[in-house]
Formats: sequence, structure tokens, C-alpha cells
Amino acid sequence: MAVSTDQRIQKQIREEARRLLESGEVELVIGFRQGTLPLRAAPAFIHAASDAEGLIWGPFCENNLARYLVGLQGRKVAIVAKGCDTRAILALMVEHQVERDQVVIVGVPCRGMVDRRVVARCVPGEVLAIRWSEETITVEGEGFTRRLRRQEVLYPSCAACIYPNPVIHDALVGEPVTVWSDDAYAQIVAFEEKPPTERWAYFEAEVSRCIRCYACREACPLCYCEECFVDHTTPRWIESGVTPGGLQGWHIGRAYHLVGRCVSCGACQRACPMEIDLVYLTGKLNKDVWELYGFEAGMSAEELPPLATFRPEDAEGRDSVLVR
Amino acid sequence: MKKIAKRHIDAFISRLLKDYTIYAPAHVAEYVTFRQIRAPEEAVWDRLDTRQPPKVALLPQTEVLFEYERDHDRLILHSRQDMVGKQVLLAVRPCDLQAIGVLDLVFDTPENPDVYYVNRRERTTIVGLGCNRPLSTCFCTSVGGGPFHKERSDVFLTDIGEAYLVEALTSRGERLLADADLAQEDESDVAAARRIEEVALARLASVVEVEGIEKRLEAMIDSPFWDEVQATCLGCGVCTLLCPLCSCFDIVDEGTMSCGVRVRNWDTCQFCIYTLEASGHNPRPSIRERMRQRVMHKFDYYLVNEGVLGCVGCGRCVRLCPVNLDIRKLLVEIQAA
Repeated sequence: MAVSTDQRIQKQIREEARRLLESGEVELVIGFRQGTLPLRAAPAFIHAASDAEGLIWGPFCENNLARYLVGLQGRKVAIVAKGCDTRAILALMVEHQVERDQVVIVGVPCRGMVDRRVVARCVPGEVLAIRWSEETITVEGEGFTRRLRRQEVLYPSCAACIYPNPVIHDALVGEPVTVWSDDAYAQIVAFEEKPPTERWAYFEAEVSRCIRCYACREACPLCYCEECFVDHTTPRWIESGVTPGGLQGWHIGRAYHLVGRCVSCGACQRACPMEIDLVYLTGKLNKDVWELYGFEAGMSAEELPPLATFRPEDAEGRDSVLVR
Repeated sequence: MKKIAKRHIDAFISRLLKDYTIYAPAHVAEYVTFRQIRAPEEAVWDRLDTRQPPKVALLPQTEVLFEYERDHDRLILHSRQDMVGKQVLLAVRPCDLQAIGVLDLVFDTPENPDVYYVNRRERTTIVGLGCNRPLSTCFCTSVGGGPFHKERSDVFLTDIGEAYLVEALTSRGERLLADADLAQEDESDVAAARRIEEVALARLASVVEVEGIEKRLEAMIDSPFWDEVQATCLGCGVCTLLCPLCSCFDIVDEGTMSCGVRVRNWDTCQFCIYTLEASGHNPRPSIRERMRQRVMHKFDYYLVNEGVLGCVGCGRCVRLCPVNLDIRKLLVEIQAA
């Protein structure tokens, strides 16, 4: 059988990791290892060149590993990074959370990550084994085998992604991929077109399932505040419980803290155990920032997010979003 | 023992709904979770992977304990323990039954009964349901449970195809069944149930030997093992908040000097502010200490102090951890360390 693109990438990731650790260029490689469940990979911290063989690549490497860079200051690390992960690294560099010479970026052109929940719902029983090829994944369980097209079971953020290729890298493993999404904001536009009552009802219903585990915050590479506003108790900014006020306050606060900083990776939504739609909120804010300031987070290591800067010609105060 | 034909179940539940609030596995969004149902057909009988455990019906995530108001120099307290009516927890799996047993140990002690919990618990009738086809993430038999363990249920059901075998284990269970269309079971039903139980047990491989794990853990308190765990753990609250028996809570007054409420919320040892002291000192400053606390509470302190494990093998944390930090793998590594 021919070697698939993912297998080639995996081989190159291992080679690169081994080389970086053996040469002493880095002391740590952050990548993915085989998960303990069929549809899962798990983040891996590799310190020894001999462990590089444990690194894997495939359609389930869903975590944004850039999240781990904050807090590793002063250590020389290599990181396996998809398009969105590289954008997060750039956004962190702009905010001085990561230094360029501290990190070796092993960029991987990404074909989109497969939504394990959608896959589980496409089959009549528990998923017990999985295989994948260029275009399909084959899911097996007791008494069934189903073949699904990878492109049709991507996470929503991956289906809409327009930057699957690393925007910055030191090494590139694999060939750049052709962008499949023709409009990053198609779903946001569809949502904007709904009447306000419908939009509010959707928001209300989605956040009502929240259990305030803050997996969304912890998975987000840009949520690195030393003290999150919800953890502040004197004064307390929002209600503490799973009340409408507490939940809505958390989700609005979270989204607003990411204005001009969100890189659309969707890690928040993938981490959510209650399957709450989160990316339409940050997506809408991303769209506003793009339309008002022509800015996208994580595309440059120099340009500050619009809300971290001020220019006289900025839109605020004039035709601001508040008026619309 | 009796049996009830599956076609009679909905009528039975309809009758119960007149007198009881019923919690059961039911659909929410795209998943199945324990929640209140208002019609019999909302109950989902064939799913083991409920997102929220039945804990939600006994220990709500947010509960108002009382209201307060200040009238000049008087402080007036209003009880908000809405007299909880009678409730039924339906289709509770044996792992979650075992978890309720641990909740009882924590909240229903002779010395310090928690009135809020006990109030609900005393009005609760539990209908257990055996697991014919345990999932690959289930590991109840590794932590002292089993797919047909009946303890803590008032009524226990075994799915034998067209009917459920029905066993009343308490007088409360007998009262619940007073109105049900029960038929007498015959020998073939009992034989079928036994076969089903054997098949279920065979599906549950032993994933870890927990014998002696508390000694291991105590010897590992300063082990670099916890640094490795810390490396990838996000520090979110998924594993603990969705655990069927994690029961830590925080009490908060919300409102102003003149009026407000005292609420009790679930809390978790995984959060940075869980042990943050007023001085600013935090004895568990990083994920290393917090995850160690979670594992030691479950597999050491519970065992030593209460004689039970703080894990029932339901697999929720295994399935839902955003970084696939698998407690089964951790336990194996701890035993091998």
C-alpha cells in the first residue's frame, strides 16, 4: 500500500524531533502521541530523542499546542504546529508571551481535523477502531464498518479555515495544501442575518448547558491571564453559579477578551464537554475586527491587535459597531 | 422477582409523572445526559454514556441555600429549600449507583447530615438498570463495581429483550411498583438474565489492579511523575465536575448589604482558586499539586478514611478529557512506578 500523506508527515516529524533533540537545539518537543481512544490523539512532551518514535500525525491531532508555550519561557522548545497553531504562536509573540528565538516551529500543512463527536454519531454503535486514508476514514465497531469522507466530518472551525498552511515555520513537513474553504465567515454571515430574538435565543440555549469547567479557556492559547476575571472574587464580576447571569456573563466576557486576538483555531469548542457552540461568538468579533480595522490575529509578529493600539483614523466613535 | 414488558414501561412512567419529578438519561443538544423528563418517551434506555451523572438531581450545581434581607437593624433569612417533592432517578447505571453511595457517605453522616442533600435524598427513589453491553471506556470491575451491582437502588431492572426483570430491593421500591403492570417471571427469564450478566462481565477487561495503590501514591508524593502529568493537563474542571461522585462545593453570598442569596456551587480541586488563601498564598500553586490531589483523594484518602474508592469506573473523565489524559493509564503508570 502506498504511504499516505499523513504517514509521510509523521515520519518527517519524528526525524525532525530526533534531530532537534540529538543536536541539543531544543530540550523539548511538543507534539502528539497516540491517544487511548480510537478517535483521539494526545499532546505529548518529548525530552529524549529516543522517544521521538512515539510522535504521531493524523486527523485527530486536534489540540492547539501553542497553548503550552506560555509558561515555558526561557526553555528552548520545538513545537509541531498546524496553520492555526502557528497563528497562535504569532499572536503570542506580538503579546510578548513567546520569544521568536525560544521556539522552533515544525510547521505542518493541515487538512483539517476530524470531529470525533460527529463521527461517533454517524455510526450505529461505539467506535472501537479507526483507519484513514487520503480522503476517507473507516470506522469500525461491533457489527458495523462505515467509511466517511474526511472533508465531510471536519470540525466547524476546520471546515471554515482559510489558513491551513503554517504562516510561520522553521521547518515545514509535508506539501502545502490547497485551501478548501472559500469563505471563513459564511456561517457568521448566516447568523448575522437572523433576527435579534433568534440570535439571542440561540446564545441563551447554547450557554445554558455550560458547567463552568473552563475547558474553553484552558484550551485557548490566547487565554493566558494570570488571573481570569471569573476567578476574581473581590469584587466578583459576575454571578458565581450556573445561573443565566453567571453563564451569559462568562461567555460574553470570554469572547470580548479575545477581540482581535482570536486565531479561529476552534480549540475552545473542541475542548467543551457540553458541545457548546463557541466559535460563532469569537468568529463574529473576528469578522468585525477584519471589517473595521483590516486586522486578523496571528498573521504577523509585529502588528498589535487593534484594541491594544490607537490611531486617529480608527473607526471607533464614528461608524462603530455599536451604532449598527 | 417480576418482569415488566417494555411496551408497558411508558404507561408506568406516565403514572409516576403525576406524583414524582423524574430524572432520566435524555437527549440534550446532540448528547444524552441526566435531566428532568416531562414525558416517558424522553427517557433514553440504551445509552451508558450520560454526559451529566445523576448527581445533578441530588446535589444541584448551583443551589440557593437561603435568601437574606436587612430591615433596619434586623437581618431576615428566608428558607429557599423549595420543599423538594418526591423524585425518581430512572435508569441509573451501577457505576452511578455506587457513586451515590459515596455521596451518601459524604453528605449523610450521623454527626453532620447536610440538610439540603438529605432532604433531596430522602425523597428520592432510585431505579437502577444493569449494563448489558459495557463500553470500552467502562472499568467498573477494576474499582470494585460490576455491571449488575444493585446496591443503592430501590428497584433494579435487567434488560432481557422484550421485558425488564424487575427487582424491588427496598420498601420504597415496592411502593413505586405498586402501580406497574408486572408479570411473573419464569425460569427462562432468569436464565436469560444470567447469560446477559456473564456476557457483560466478559466484556469488562481488568484495566488496572488498584490493590495497594494508596501505598504507592503515598510514596510518590514528590515524584517527578506529577510533573509529566502537569505537562499536558489543561487544568480545566471537566474530569471533576462531570465525575458522578466529586462533590466539593463553595459557598458564596451574592447580593448587596441589604439583600441577596447564599448559594452553594460545585467547586473543583483542579481550579487555581480552590485552595487560594486570603493571604494570597496557595498551597497547591500548580497543576502538579492539583492533579495529584485529585488522584490521591480518589485512590488514597477515600480508601483510608472511608474504606471506599473515590472512583467508580464510569469512564466520563476518560471520554471527555480535552487532552485525553486517561485515568486508567495514570493508574497503570502509578502501579508500575
